Formats: sequence, structure tokens, C-alpha cells
Amino acid sequence: MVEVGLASDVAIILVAAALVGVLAVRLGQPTIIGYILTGVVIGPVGLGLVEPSIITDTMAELGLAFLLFLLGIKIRIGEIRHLIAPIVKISIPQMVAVGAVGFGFAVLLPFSFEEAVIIGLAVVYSSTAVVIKMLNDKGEATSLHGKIDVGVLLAQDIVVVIILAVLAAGRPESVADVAVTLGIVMVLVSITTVAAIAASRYVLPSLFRRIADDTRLLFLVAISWLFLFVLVSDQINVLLSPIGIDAYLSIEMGAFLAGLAIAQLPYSKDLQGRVNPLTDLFVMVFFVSVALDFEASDLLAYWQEAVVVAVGLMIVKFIVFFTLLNWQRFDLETTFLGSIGMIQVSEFGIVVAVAAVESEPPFIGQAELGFITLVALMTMSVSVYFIQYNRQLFERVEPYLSRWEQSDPVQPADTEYRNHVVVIGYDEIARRALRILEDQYDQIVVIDRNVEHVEAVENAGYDVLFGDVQYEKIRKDAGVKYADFVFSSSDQREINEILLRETTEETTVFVEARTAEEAEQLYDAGAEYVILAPQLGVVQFIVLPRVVLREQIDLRPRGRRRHGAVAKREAVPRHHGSSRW
Amino acid sequence: MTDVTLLTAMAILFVVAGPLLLIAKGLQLSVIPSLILAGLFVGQLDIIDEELMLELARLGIAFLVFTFSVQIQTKHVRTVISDTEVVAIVQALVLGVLGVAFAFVVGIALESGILPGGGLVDPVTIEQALFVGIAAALSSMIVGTALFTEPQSDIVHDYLSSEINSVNDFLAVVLLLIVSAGVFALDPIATQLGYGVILLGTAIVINRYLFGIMDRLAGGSDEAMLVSIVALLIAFLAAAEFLETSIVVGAFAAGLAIRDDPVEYSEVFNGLESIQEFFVAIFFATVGALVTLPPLSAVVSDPSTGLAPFVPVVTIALGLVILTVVIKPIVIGVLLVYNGYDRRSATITGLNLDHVGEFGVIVAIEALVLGFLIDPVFEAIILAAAVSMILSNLTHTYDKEIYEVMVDRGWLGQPRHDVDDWNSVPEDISDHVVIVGYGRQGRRLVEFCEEIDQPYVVIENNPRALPDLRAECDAYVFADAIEPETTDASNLESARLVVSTAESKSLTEYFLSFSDTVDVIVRTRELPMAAELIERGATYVIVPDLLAADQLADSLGALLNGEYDPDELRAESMSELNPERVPPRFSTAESTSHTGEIDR
Repeated sequence: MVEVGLASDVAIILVAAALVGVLAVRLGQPTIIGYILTGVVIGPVGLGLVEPSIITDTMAELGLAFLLFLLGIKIRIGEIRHLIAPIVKISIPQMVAVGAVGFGFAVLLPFSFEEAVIIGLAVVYSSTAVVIKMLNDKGEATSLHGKIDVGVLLAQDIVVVIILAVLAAGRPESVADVAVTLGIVMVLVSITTVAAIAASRYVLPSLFRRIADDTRLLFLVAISWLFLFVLVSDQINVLLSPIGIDAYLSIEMGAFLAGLAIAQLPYSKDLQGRVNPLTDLFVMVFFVSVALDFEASDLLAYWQEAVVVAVGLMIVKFIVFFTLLNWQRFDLETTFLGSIGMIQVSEFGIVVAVAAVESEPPFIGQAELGFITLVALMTMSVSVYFIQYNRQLFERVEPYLSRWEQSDPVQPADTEYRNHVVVIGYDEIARRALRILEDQYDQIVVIDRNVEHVEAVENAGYDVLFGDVQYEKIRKDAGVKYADFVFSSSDQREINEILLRETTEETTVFVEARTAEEAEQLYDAGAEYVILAPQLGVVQFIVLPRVVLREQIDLRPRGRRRHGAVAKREAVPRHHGSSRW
Repeated sequence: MTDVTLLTAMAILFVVAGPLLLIAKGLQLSVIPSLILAGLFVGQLDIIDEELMLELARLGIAFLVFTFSVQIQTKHVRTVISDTEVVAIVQALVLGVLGVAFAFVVGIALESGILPGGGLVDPVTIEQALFVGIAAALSSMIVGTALFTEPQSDIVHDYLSSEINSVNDFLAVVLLLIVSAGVFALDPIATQLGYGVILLGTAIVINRYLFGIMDRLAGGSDEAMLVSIVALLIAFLAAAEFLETSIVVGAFAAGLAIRDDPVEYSEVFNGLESIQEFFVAIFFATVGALVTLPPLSAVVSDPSTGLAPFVPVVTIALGLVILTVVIKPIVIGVLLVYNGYDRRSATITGLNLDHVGEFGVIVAIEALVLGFLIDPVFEAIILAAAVSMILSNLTHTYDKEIYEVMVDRGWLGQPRHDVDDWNSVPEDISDHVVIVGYGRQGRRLVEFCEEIDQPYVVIENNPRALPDLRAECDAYVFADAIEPETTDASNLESARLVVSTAESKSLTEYFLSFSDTVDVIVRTRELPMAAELIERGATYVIVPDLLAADQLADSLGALLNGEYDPDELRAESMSELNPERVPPRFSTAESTSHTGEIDR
């Protein structure tokens, strides 16, 4: 007999966060703010309703893992290869500069030298959770400035792993100690990366091709793949300790690489839509739980200092990023947007600080930990607004920044669809329509959820998206909203209604229906033409037996007479236009 | 218990499940046995904190019941019970009684010492036996339904399976509510039911009044809406716990509070589906992890004492497997044949439903959690579920072959006709058209044949079409088309044409075997298949999409050439839907057949 009760803490967190989150949306505020505030209000700092439990901690950890996994799934290596060099050139000086400034601030304030070092190390990183969540919500994750930010965040993530490894190893005896740890971490990160990329090239394509048609299986196997990396990263110390190596990898890094391996497959778009909701749910718990770990007295011990440092750091971070991005010849807008996003202190700063508290002997006390957390919370909250209104802000300040305008900036690649054709489902009807449509349109994108169809579309030379059109993500990528012509050979009424709802008056929409009633509903919903396959089928096909019977053709003995349209059409697959029975 | 974090335990579960899922895909098994097996393996490592995992797993149950009850609102509620539903209910009753009786006998055998029951503390009471009965009775496939069945299938055994399944689902939810409302315990039942009613009432109020407000507050943000709905579910679960009824009642009520509008909230429902799948996966894996196998070392060193505690579990599990895999198909088959279905459809339907259903597992785990079910019986049900699901997959894959073998061995006797007028074909008919299937296409063909005085015979095996056959068709055979006696009755050999309107592989194969003597028209959805069928002797292959594509090409061409503007096309094609205004595109003969239908 097992005793269980649904953790009331989880219930309170979810319900409170949902309420505050909805309120935040209503007031035009980012949901992250709502979640962080929820944590402050219901946690020990505020009402003291909940304390972190194993379940909330696990969900928060899963939140970060899923966030990074989702991010990984979005990144096509081909699209970021040219960014690797600038990202390295930006992230290293950035961390050195910001770390130095953080240390400087701390030394000027009443902190000891050792505390100042930890504070310097903790404020270096920008928040993966905030930046990526905001970029995702705003649909900017794959824009040029989004890619740069993501790249820098990952570089910082590697450094966090190293710092954590060093801190966990206790007070480093010498520079050599640090160097060894650093070497091990770099080697492990490289090995994992190589493994992920090798898998994405040699193992995953055939593996995922076999299961991609089954949505649920694809989803579960992808999650299993994610957990494989999470498990290895999490347990690497256990795995390697028998051979005498102390090693650490972050779960986030593992999750990102797991996602990256899948991103290179054509099925990644479909997975993005499925992983997103889980991420939303767990990340919410993560943001709420950030503020749960503290008592008010610890959190507020250095509140004045925290305000000063938070403001100072945000300004310094912006200036550092702006200078470095400008130096790497990104255009003014990218430079500005890329910099304004990165001004906060990361949740990893808190993690580093916690490790410093737990180190034996501790480097800092609870009050200093509270200080770092408070700085992180404040900068995260403020930066969310900067990201939310980044473009408006840029328009305001652009005139003053014009002297940093590049004459020959790095060009972002633009692959958005406009005034194109979107075809949903690749069956015989769609094939025929495509042959007619391709004469009139240059850009045609086909959406299908069947591996063989997708390959057939690719062979036929059209753009193709693997995924379920039911997902907004897929419709966005196909640019359904901006299409000139939408052709749906799906006969699911819900899907067609969604399409009709999403397109404008100008778009011509052809959809398929199963019954006459459904067809009428679809006309009412604004379809230009509804294909009624079964009915059409029977009407035309009756004509044939009529001919067979009425013209009294004696069919026996049978000379291999075939109304060979079927065979003929197969032989001339791309015959245009007027082939009739 | 080895000390690992919850995250690690979850990670291990999923990492083990991954390869098993891939193997299952290779063997065309459903995902659930793989998940249970993964749990079973990981459970033996003793690294799972059962309480914590169960907490997550119960979110899986909650989500399952929740989704079910969201959908149930818009389901068409009928007051008349169809014949299939009667079959489903009688089947469940028969199997339930057999299950209870069997478990009861095992219980007596254990107590009297006929069976070694070492280590079994609690006796197998009638209460325990009831749950074995429930497990035997239900073969619902709620998780798989949406994925595996094609909507509006015109193949009789397909729709039979899905109808029986949905009745089973419904029974399961009712049972679950009863079990979890604590009826089995001696708590004040009235209070429990009262709380349940309060929850349901609250849910309906929320649905009617608050949901709209929630929607407006979320302001079109899918994330806010999704989180709110999850929170609503959790709040109901918490309320249910607070009122000391089961979370299943809470989840069911929460589902009723949500408005089922798959178009308006498509993104939200997609999100719920992903979250549900994640937690349901955890649920089934946890179920597996709860089964304790005898330690391997003990079994190897001393098989008799090592295995002894496991004997009752295995006995009950084996009995359940036999009940579901052997007895259940027989019961279903007999009941269906008795209701006028042909023996092929009846047998194949039975072979599709021969397993312990997912909902049976859920009922078991709820009963375990609530303390009504003892561990060995629970473990037996889980084992039986895993084994029977795997076996069921096999029988489903090879259902036609199994049927052939049974017919060849004469196990099924002769085809049975429970109506005298099963065949109304004149003895001397010849040069006629044989129309297989009396669906929409079949009806049109019959009208047409009558119009040109062409003799015809309709073959149909669905009892629901029988009244229409009697009323509308001069000559019909009401039987399985593939039986030799049907072929004789319809005088197929001397027909001039066979038109098979059903898209069934076995039917197509069967009629093609007559293509040397008769002209055969068959139907398929796939173009490559059509070419192959022509090659194999079909006179003509109906490909609905191809026919539709032809007409579409006209409209599309006209639109793009500028012959029509979109509004004109819309107006024109809408008028085509209205049968009174005959589409000008067809011949006059065609239009008379149109109006002919309307005059009827």
C-alpha cells in the first residue's frame, strides 16, 4: 500500500502562478515577471505558503533542461556556423570585463576580497531562462541578434560548468588545479558535442525516419533521447570517478546538445510544437521557485547595495556588449537588440553563489547569497521589459547611435515566405493542384506529416515542412498568414477552420471536406472552394459503368482493355493541365 | 532504496523506455507494453521513490480522465442503445463475472493450501476478486483510439471495435468514479457522492460563466490559457483531495469545466496533449515499476522457495491472460454473431479486443492507492495487462490469418443466418452487376442500375443496412462477401461486372481472383496501389482522390487563368452543393440521376 497525496505545494504554485500570469498578460506585462512575483509573494519572503519540495525542484530543473532542449531543436548548425567565430570573440572579453566590473563594485561596497571574487564570478552570465524565453515568446530566437545572444549564453554556460566544478572541488590549491578542471570540462563538452553531432549525422536520421509517422512515439523517443543526455551529464561524475577523474557537466549543456542533434533532422519542427507546452509548464515552476529558497532577512540584508550594483551592472553589461558586437561589425539594430537583451544577471549566478555557500569551508554567507539573488531578480525583472520593448526602444535611440552605424554589416539571412502558396498534405489531389499552381507561383511550401510524402515532395522540388499543421509553430514557419493561396487536402474540419481563421480575405483558400454539411460549414467560414472527394468520386465514377453498360461493349472475352488513365498518369507524372478521362 | 534524485530516476526510466519503444515500433506493438516493461526493469533496480513517482504518475491519470471528460461534453448523447453497445455491455458483464469467479476460486485454493501462497498476508477476498473481474471486462484503448482508428471507417469490424471500445471507456470511467468515490470502502457513501456532486456542479458553473472570463483575461495568450487550464485541473485535484474523494473525480469534474472548442483553443489543446502524453508515459512506466519480481539470485539458488511468493501473482495473471486473450474473443464473437454479424467480422472484432485495457490498469492503481487492492492482485493485473497487450497486438496483426485457420479447421462451423431472407437473388440471374457494399456509392450504383434496367445483386454484411436492403433492393445477399456460399448465392460466376465499393484489402484480393471470368472494379485510396491492381487484372480502379483531382484541376485552372475571380468561384461551387441546382458540368443523364434521388 502506497501513501500518496498530490503535493499541495505544486498545486499552490501552479494555481497562484496561473492567476498572476494571466493578470500579467492582462496588464501587458511579460509572464516571467508574473511568475517571479508569484514566487516572492507565496514564498518565505512573502506569505510563506510554500516551501520548495522535491517535486518543485525537479520540475524547475526539468524546466531549464526542456528550455535548453527546445532551444537546441531550433538551431540548424548550417545556419549558425558563420557566427561561431564572432561569438567566441564576443563572449570571452565580455565575461572578463563584466567579471572585473562586478568584482570592482563589490570591493567598493562592504564585501571582503573573497566575497567580491565570488560576486564577480556570479554576475558574469546573462540569464538563459529569461533571454531564451523572451526570444521564443517574441519569435526572435532565430533572428540574427537572437542567435548571437544564444551563442554567447552557451559560451557562458560552459564557463558556469567550469566554475561549478572548481567550486565543488573545494578551494583550489593552485592555478594548476583550476587548469586541470578546466581541461577536463572542455574535453567532456567536446566529447559530448562530437557525440551529439555524430549521432545526428549517422544514427538519428534512420532511427527517427522509422518512427516519425507516429506522433506520440516520435515525442516519447525524443524525450528519451533528451533524458539520455541529461542522465549522462548529471551522472558523469559517478561514471568517471572509478577512473579517478572528478568531472562535471551541466544538465543544461547536455539538454542543449540533445536538442541540437535532433535539430538537424527534418522532423525537428514537429517536435518543437510538442515540446513547447511542457517547457512552458516546467519553466513556470522554475521562475516561481527562484525566489522560494530565501528568507526575507537574508534576501534583503544588502538591499541598498543590491540596487546600486543592479543598476550599475545593467549599464556596464549593455556598454560591454554594445562595444563588442559593434566591434564584430554587426549592424546597428542587431548590435542594439543583441546587447539590450543580455543586461541581466543569470539564475546561474545564484547557482554559483549557492555552490560557494555550500563549499567547505564556505566562500560566502547566506546574506551574500541573498545579495546576489536579489541582484539577479532585479536585473532579470527589469531586463524583461527591455526585451519586451526592444524594438520601440531602438527606434527612440537610433538617431543618437548613428555614429556606430556599420558601413558594411554582417547580413542576416532572410528566408521568410511572402505571397506564396501553402499546400497542406501531399496526396493525389494536392499533387494535381501543385502542378497547376507551380506555373503561377515561385514560392510553394508543402506541409505534411508523413515521412514518405515529405521525401516525395523534396524530390519533386518544392519546399517542405515536416509537421502537423495543427501546430501554430508549423503554420508560422510556413507563413500561412501571408500566403496568397492556401490549399488544404486535409479533410479534418477543425484544421480547415483553423486555416480559414488564420488567413485574410485576400488569401484564396481551397479546402477538402468529407460531407456536404461540412462543406457548407467551410463555405460559411470563408473557403473559396471546397473539394468533396467522396462525392465527386462517385458522381464521376458512375459515368464510367454507364458507358460500359449502355454502349453494350462486350467485355468478354477480355482483350486487356483498361481505362488506363491510372497507368498512363503514372508514366507521365508531371504532365500539366488538361488530362481528362 | 538507492539514493538518487527524482530527476535521475525519471531520466533512467525514459532512457530505458527509448530502446524498448523502438523495438515495439519494429514489432508493430503499441507503446504501452514498452512503457510498462521499462518501468518493470527500472523498478527492479530499486532506485525509484515510489511515492514521488506515483505522485507524478497520478498526474498522468488525472490528465487522461480530464481529456476524456473534456471530450465527452460534445459527444452526441443518444437515448437509444445500439446493438453493439448491448454487445459491449453483455461482454463486459460476462467477462467480469468470469473474472470474479476465477479470482475467488484462486483465493479459496490459496487459503486451503492447494496453491502455495507463501508470503501472502491478506486473503483474496471478494473485493479483490471484483477488481480482477473489472480488469478482465474492460478492453478500452483510450490512449490509442485517436491514433489508430480511422474515423468513419466503412469496414464493419473496424467500427465494431471502436464502438465497443468507446462503451468500455465509458464503463471504465463510471467504474473509476465509483471505485474512487469510495463505494467499496464503508465510508459514508452519501457524503462521498455529495462531494462529487458539488465538484461537478462547480465545474458546470465554471464552464458556463467563469471560463469565458478566463478566456478574456488570458487575452489570446496561448501560454496563459494553457497554464490556467492546467492550474484549473490541479485546483480541482486539490479540492478533491481536500474533500477526501479521489483525484479521478476531481479530474473528471475539471474536464467538464473546460469548453471543448478544438478550433478556438487548438494551440491550448495541442499543449494539453503534449503534457498529457508526458505524464501518461510516466504513469505507465510507474505502473511497471510497482511490480516486484522475485529477486533473481533467490530464484536461481532455490527455485521453489524463491518463486513461492510469486505463485499467486502468476496464477491470477495467467488466468486473466487466458480470460482476455482466449475467452473474451469467443464471448464477443458469439454475441456479435447472435446479433446478426457475419462470423468473419465477429471473429476479427474479438481478436482486436483481447487484452486488459488501459483503463483496467488505471482502475487497479486507483484501487491500490486507495487501499482496496492488495499488492499481489495488483501485480497480477499489471502483468496480465502487459502480456495481453503484447499478445493482442499479435492477434490484431494476424487476425485474418487466425480467422482462416479457424475456418479451415472447422472450428467455426457453417455460416449462420439469423434471418430467413438473407438472400433474395433469383436463381436464374445472369449478366448482372454485383455491387459489394451498400454505402453511399453502393446506393448510387443501385439507383443507376434500376434506371437502365440492369439486373444487379448487392452484397452487404452490416446488419444495420438490412432494413434498407429489404426495402430498396430487388436482389441482395446479406452475408460476408468472402464466403463461398455468398459467391454462389450472388451467382458471381455468371455476372458481367463486380463493383467493390469497400476499401478493404482482403475484399479487393478476393474479387481480383475472379478477374479471369468477370470484369472487376475495385477501389483504393493510393495511386501506386491502383496501378498494381490494374496490373493484376482489375478492369478499372476507383481512386476517389484522382477523380476529385480532375474536377479540381478545372476550377483551379479557371481561377488562375482569370476566368473566375474567387467570389464567382465561391458562388458557383456553393451552388453545386445544393443538389436542386444541377451542376452544369455533367451530362444530362447524370443530372436526372441527381433529381431522381431527390424525388425519392
